[in-house]
Amino acid sequence: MISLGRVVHKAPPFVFPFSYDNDCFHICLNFSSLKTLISDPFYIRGILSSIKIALISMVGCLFIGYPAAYAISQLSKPKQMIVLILMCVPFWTPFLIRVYGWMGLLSQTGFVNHMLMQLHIIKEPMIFLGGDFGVCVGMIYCYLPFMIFPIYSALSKIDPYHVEAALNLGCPPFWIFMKIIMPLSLSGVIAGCVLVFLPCLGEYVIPELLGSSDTLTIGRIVWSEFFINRHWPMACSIAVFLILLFVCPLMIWNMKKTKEDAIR
Amino acid sequence: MTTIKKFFLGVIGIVFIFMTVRTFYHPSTIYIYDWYGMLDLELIKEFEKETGLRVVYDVYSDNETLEARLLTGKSGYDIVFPSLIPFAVFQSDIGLYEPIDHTKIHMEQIHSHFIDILKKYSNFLIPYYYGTIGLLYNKKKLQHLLKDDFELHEHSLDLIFNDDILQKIHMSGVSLLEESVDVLPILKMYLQNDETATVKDRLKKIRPFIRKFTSSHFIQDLVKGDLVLAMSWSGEARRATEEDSNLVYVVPKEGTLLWVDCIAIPKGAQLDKAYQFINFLLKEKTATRITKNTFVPTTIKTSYQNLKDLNVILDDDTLKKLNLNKIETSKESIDNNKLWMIFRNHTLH
Amino acid sequence: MGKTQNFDTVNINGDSIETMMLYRRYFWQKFILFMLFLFIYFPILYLITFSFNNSKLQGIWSGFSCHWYHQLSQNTMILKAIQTSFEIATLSATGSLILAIIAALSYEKFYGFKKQPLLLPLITTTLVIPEVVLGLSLLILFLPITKGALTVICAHMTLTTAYVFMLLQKRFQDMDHSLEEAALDLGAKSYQVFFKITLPCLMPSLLSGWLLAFVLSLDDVVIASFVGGPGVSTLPILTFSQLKTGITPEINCLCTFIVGIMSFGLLVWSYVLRHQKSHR
Repeated sequence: MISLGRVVHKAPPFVFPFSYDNDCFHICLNFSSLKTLISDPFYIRGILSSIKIALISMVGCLFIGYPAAYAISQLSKPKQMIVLILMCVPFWTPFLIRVYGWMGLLSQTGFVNHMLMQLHIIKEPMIFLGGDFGVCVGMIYCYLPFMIFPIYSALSKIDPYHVEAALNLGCPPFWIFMKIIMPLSLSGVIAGCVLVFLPCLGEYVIPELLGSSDTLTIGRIVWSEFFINRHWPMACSIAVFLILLFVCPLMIWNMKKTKEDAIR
Repeated sequence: MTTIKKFFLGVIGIVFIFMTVRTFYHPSTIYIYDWYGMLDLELIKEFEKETGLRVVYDVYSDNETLEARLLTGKSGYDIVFPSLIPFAVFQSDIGLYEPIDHTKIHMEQIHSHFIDILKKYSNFLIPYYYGTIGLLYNKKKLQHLLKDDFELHEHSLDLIFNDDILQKIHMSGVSLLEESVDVLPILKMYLQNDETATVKDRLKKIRPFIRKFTSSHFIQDLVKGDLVLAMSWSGEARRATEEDSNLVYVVPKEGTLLWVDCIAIPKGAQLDKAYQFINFLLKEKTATRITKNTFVPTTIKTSYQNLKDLNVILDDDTLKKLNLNKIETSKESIDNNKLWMIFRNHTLH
Repeated sequence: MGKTQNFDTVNINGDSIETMMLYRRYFWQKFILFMLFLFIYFPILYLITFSFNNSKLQGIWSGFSCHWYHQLSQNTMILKAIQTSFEIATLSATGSLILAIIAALSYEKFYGFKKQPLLLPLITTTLVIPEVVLGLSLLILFLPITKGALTVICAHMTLTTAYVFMLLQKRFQDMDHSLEEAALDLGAKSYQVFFKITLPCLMPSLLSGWLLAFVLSLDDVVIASFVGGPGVSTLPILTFSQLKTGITPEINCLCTFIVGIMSFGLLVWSYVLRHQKSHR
C-alpha cells in the first residue's frame, strides 16, 4: 500500500515540477523526456528487445513449468508436499548466487561447453554468455517457481471426477487435456505468465551478469539513465511508461475480475 | 508450557530490541565509501584503535553508484573516493563537496605533480590513488594468433583499434572498458584526430570484433581464457599478472590516460572526523600498505621508497608524458555517451 | 510410485492398452520431475562442488581443498555484510508482517460490509512492479531523508508486504470465524480475541509469511542499491560488486552454507509438521 506513494516527477534533474514562492504556486511540466522516449529509436529498440526477452522467458517458463506442475499435481498428497519443498530449497538461496552458478556453467570454459565438447556435439566452445540466450536461461531459472506455483494450485483444484467421467465416456486423453484440464487451469497459466513476464521486463541483475551490453531490458535502460547519464527524468519517464503500458491494464483487468467475483 | 513460551517470547523480544538499537544507534562513527577492495580491514582496525572512532566502511564498484548516492543529497558519508575526471570535477562543480581546509591536513606528503594537475579543484579534492589505462593480454596466445605481426604491434593501440589485427584475434575475445570517458579519448589519441566523423567511422569498423565491454570482469575472463586481450586499469592488470604469468600489461606507445581517484568530503559530513581519516590516509605507512595490497600506487611520495621492487610507481618523466582526460562540457559528454551507447549496441550507422 | 490420486478409481482390469498408457504416464511423470530437479539443482550442486576447489578459478578443477572456507571465515567484510543483511531482513520482515496483519484484518472486516474492488488489485499489483521501478520511486520518495538502514527497511517492507498480505488474506478467508464470534459473545475484549484466538489461528501463515519476507529482503540487490546509505552494505550488494569485479570462490562456500542451513531448516520444519499431524 505504501507503493501508492509512487511520486514521479517529470522535470530536469533535481527540479520539481511544482514550486511555491511569492505566494504563488507554480506548476512547470516538462515533457521533453517523454517526447524523446517516444521519438528516439534507441529507446523503442530497447523496449522491443526487452519485450522479446521477457516473452521468450515467459514461454520457456510455461513450457517447463506446465508439465512440471502437472506432474506434481498427479502425485499423491504427501509426495506433493515433499516435491514442493524440495523445489523451494534452491529458490531460497540468494538469487545472485544462483545467477553466479549459471555464469560458471555457461562460460566458455564452463561445464556445459566442456560436456558438449566431450560428447563431440560441438568442436569449438560456444559463447552462451553475452547474448540473449544466457539471459533467457537465467530468467527462466529464476522465475520458474512463479510459473509453477499458480499453475499447480489451479491444477490441484480441478475435480478429478471431471476427468474420470470423461475417461469413462471414452474420451481420448489428448482431448481430456484440451477440453477439461487446459481450460480449468487457464487462470493459473495467466497468473503465472503475468508473474513472470512483468518482472522479467524490469529485470536488471540477470542481464547485467549473464548478458552483454547489447542485451537490453527496460530495467537496464532505467538503471543506465539513472546512474550513468544522470538523467533522472528520463528514467522516471521510462518507469511511468512501463507502468502505463503494462501494469495499468493488468490492474484494470484485475479490478474488473474482482468486481465480477463480488457480483457472483 | 506457558512459562517456556513466555521465556522464548521474552528472549525473542530482547534480541529484537537489541537488533533495532544496534541498527539505528551509532556512537561517534565515521562513514567511508570506497572502491571495492582498496582498504583492507586491518588498516581500518588500526585507525579505530588510533582514534577511538567506529568506522563504517562501505564499498562501491563504479563511479555511477557513488554519484547517484551523492546526488540524492544527505548521503551520510564522510569520505568518498570519486574518480577525478569527469566525476569528481562535475561533482565539485555542482557543489556536492565541502571545501577542504589545507591547514588541517598534511598536504606536503602529496606528490606535487598531482596537485598541479588538479588546479582549481584542489580546494575540494585531494588526489590519492592513480594509475594508467593500458592493454592486458595473454602474450603466448597473442603471439600464436598474430605470428610475425606481434612484435610490431606489441606496445601499440593497433591491437584494439586496428580492424585488420582485430580480425585475426577477435575469435579469442577482445574487451574494451565500459565507459566512453575511458575509451574515446584514447581512440582520439590513437587516431590523432578529434572529429566525431572519424571516430565514428573507426568505431563502426571495430565493433564486430569486440566481444565485451567490461571495466572489471576481464581479469577472470583472461585468466580463464574467455578473452585474450583486454583494455585494463593498471592496478587490476598488475594483480592479474601476479595470478597468471602469461599475462602482460603494456602502456601503449601512442600514449594513454592517467586516472586519478581523489579523496573528497561530501556536503554535510562530519569534518573533524573526516580530517582525521584523511591524515591517516596520508601517512607513509598507510599508503605503503595500500599499494602493497592492491598494487595501486598512491600519491604519497614518501611511500615510494618502500615500494621500489613492486614496479608499480611511475617515475616523474613518465608521469609528465601521460595525459589527463580533458574536461568535457555537459553537451560533449552527453553526445559522447550517446555515441558510445549506440556503438555498444551495434546500431552505429 | 503406486496409484496416483486422481486416477485411482479408473477401472483398468485387463485392459492392456490402458495399463500401458498409465505406465507410460508414470514414466513421463518421473522423467519430467527428474529433468525439473536436474535443472533446478544443477547450478547449486555445481557451486557446491567448486567451493571445494583448490584453484581460484571456477570451472577448472585443480584438487580438493577447504582453503576457501578458511578464507571465508577470515573475511570480516563478508561476515559483517551477512550480519547487516540479517538485521535488515529480520526487521523488515517483522515490520511487513505487522503491516500485513493490519491490512488483512481490515480488509477482511471491510469486505464483509462493503465490497472493496480496488484494494486487492492495488496490493497485488505491487507483486509485478519491476524492482527497478519500485526502487526509483522509493528513492524519489525518500529524497529528503538521510539514507540508511531505515530507508532500506522501509523499502523492503514495501516490497514484501504484498506477498505476506496475500498469504494471510487467503488464510483469513479459510479461517473459522465462529470461534472469534463465540469469544466476543462470552464477553472477551476485542484485543483479547485478537491475541488469544485470531493470531494463534493464523500462526502457520504468519510464520511462512515472515520467512518469505525475510528471504525476499535477503535477496534484494536493486532496491537496496537505490535507497541504501552508509552502513548498509548488505550481502547481495557486496556479492554483486564482487561478481562484477573479480571472483572469489568464497561466494561458493557461502552458497554451500546457505543451502545447508536451508535444507536443515526445511527438514526440521517438515519433521515438526509431521509430528504435529500425528499428534492430532
